Amino acid sequence: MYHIDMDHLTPLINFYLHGKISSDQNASYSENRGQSLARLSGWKKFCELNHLTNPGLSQLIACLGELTNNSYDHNIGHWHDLPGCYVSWSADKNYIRFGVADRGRGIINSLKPVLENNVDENTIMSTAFEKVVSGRSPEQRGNGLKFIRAQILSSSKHSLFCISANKSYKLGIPDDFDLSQQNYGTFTLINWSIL
Amino acid sequence: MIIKVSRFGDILTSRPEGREAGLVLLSSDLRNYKSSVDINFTGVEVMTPSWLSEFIKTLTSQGISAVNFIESTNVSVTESIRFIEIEKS
Repeated sequence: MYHIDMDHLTPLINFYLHGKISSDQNASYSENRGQSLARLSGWKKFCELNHLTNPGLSQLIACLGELTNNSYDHNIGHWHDLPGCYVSWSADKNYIRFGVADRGRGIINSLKPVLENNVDENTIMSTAFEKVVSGRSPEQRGNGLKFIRAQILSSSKHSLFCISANKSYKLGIPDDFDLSQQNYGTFTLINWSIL
Repeated sequence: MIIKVSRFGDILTSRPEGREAGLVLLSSDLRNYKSSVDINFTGVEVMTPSWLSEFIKTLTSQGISAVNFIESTNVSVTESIRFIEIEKS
């Protein structure tokens, strides 16, 4: 079971909570989608250098593509302040880790208008990852987080942690940490087993 | 007609790029073409359901009668196909 390594996450948390863009060799801020898309090939290269091969390589980069694109798809016109997303990455001999944070409206605020009244926020978080529903309704979209969940569940060694508006969703990870006092933004960690 | 999508890149992830790829085809290879197309994924290294969904919707909304998928061994491709089948059902 993987445990969250907080030391690697300070720049990501600083962006998520405070909008602080830290200079870090293993993190980058993409103000717009074009910058984020251009960086996908670099993140893929990082995975290759850390000995991740297919099928995991294509699965992990696809998950990262869905996560980063979600920041733009669901938050255009809804940024709290800074647009775009901040991505951090690290690796050891067992795991590759990516974190993605944005200061958009968040999963809860995105989905609440398209779900039935009185759905509690924990249910909204699980719905986002487990049922086909989109915050961009009536457009037919909304598979990204379900796709990510399926890739994480393809191995018992992978794990995911996501928090938005103080509600978290976890797969294969025992840890939780408090990123409270914030009702906007989305913060997601993926821990991908190399083995 | 066979369409090789790697002409649009080897990492295909975003909805706007998928829509743009479809529009490019409709104005070139698929101009005045309304029959079915077969999608060849050879050369694609990373794909998401978002790109593929938007690409397919762009083609079918403009009269392409059917889109078929040529078998791929890339898991991000096969998983993307599986998820847009779920979306359609």
